[in-house]
Amino acid sequence: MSEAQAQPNHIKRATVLWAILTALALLVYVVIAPQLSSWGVLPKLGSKRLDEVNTVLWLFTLLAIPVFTLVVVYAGYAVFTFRSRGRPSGDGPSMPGDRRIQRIWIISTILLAAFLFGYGLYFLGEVQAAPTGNVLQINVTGEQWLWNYTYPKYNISSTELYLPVNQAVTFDITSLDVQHSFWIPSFGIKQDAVPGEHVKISVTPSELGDYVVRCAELCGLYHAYMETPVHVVTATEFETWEQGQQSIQVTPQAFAGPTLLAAVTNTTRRRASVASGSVGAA
Amino acid sequence: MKKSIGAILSVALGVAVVVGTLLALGNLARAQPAGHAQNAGQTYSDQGTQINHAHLTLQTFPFSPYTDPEWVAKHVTGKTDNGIPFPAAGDNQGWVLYWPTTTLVVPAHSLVTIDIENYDSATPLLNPYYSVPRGVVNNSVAVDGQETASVSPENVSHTFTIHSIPNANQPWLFVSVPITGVPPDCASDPTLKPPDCVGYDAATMPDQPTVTEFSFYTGDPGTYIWQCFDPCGANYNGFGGPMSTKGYMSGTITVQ
Repeated sequence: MSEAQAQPNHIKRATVLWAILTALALLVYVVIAPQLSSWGVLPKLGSKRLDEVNTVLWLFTLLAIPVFTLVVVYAGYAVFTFRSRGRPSGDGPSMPGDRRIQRIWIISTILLAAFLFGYGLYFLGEVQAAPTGNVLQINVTGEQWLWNYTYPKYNISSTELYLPVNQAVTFDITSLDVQHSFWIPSFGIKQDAVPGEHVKISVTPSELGDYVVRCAELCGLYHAYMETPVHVVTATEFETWEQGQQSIQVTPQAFAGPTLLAAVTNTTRRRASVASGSVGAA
Repeated sequence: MKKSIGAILSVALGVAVVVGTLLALGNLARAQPAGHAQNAGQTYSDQGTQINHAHLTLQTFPFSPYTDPEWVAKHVTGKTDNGIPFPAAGDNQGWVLYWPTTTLVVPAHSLVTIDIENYDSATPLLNPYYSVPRGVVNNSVAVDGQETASVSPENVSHTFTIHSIPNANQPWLFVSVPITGVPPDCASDPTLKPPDCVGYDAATMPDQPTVTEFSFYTGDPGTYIWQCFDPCGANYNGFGGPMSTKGYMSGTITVQ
């Protein structure tokens, strides 16, 4: 038996191993991917934009799995199979390049990267396209440690974000103090809020429900609490909310009127009762 | 064997150092005593049902009142060397602060009325949003007994703003009121006459505070964050120092 016949075909072995592991990994991923939102790994779906983002994530991950397993399997196979037993006494055998493998590797890599690049550019253009038609503008102001929303069309302000479902919205985002980041995970949007800068980002909420907006830029002591509700409601509910907010206007002026509460009008000096561990009327 | 023992000892030593550091830091962090709202009888909710009414008084100072002998002589009876929970010596007594505690406790499903006696002058608001009372009864506050639906951003000294994070375990609560600043010192400008100015003592503490009173309804139990949104601190455009340190211009309010 010649030496060549005694040696197993390592390429063939590793390739079979790669194919099996890739198939298993793809199967597992295809099964669990749709569950990621319900498990809380991915945010709850609130807009078509997030759906598109998730599609890109799904596709890119799917294409990355064979590449990942290829690297892991071939590297692992080589490390395990050709490991040295004891201290090596000299250099290993020379390993001439295989042009066929090199061509396959380079061409397939170029094709894959070109596809991802092209698809990514196309997707970026889709999600960044300015909405047309009836667009609701909302001015977003970040401040340590809350978000303010002003609806110029209705001349109202709020710290809670109310949005009518299936209505395109453009956020004009800025900050009053330090850098924040306006992030609504369920809508698939995240945009830095920079003092002195106004940056716009658009989205169309497509699912009724309650979501959150978070600050995604470490901005100080209570950064972790810079999280406020987002309510996607029907057009009628939005109108009701908007009319309710009209009664709270930013018009700094004083007016005379009855004292707030007759039961507690005695606002003369009440010194805190510290010794008793309480604060209040002493 | 020696290597294993060395490794185990190294890990044990590392754990001991981390635990010891955490314990030391824990001891350094002096927790403020909680300020409980006091029972103020019964009242009616906006739905007409009878509910409890609780009352709380807070004060705001431009610096620790216990560093001002005149203020102490006027307002403090008995011992002054103990029973002062905050700020203790070494606790940045020159910082603006809410007093006597920033850890507040109020009853659930009640009407809560808070009086804030402010001894600090105005610091114009960056954001006029906070010049309007929100989430309070009548959407208004009483400033020295005069009810008002807003305060000029130029006259605001601080804000008392309660907010929470969206959480399935507690209801959303948002309350924000502007705290009107004390007028300037009459001695600083002879053209000023009361009530456009007031007297100040030698330590630049006003003789009388401006009192802001407001009420809001509480729901189910929960723990919320409250803070000042007026840039009244140091550095970072007024948002550093006491504005970025727990226990001065921010704290927690527990609804229980």
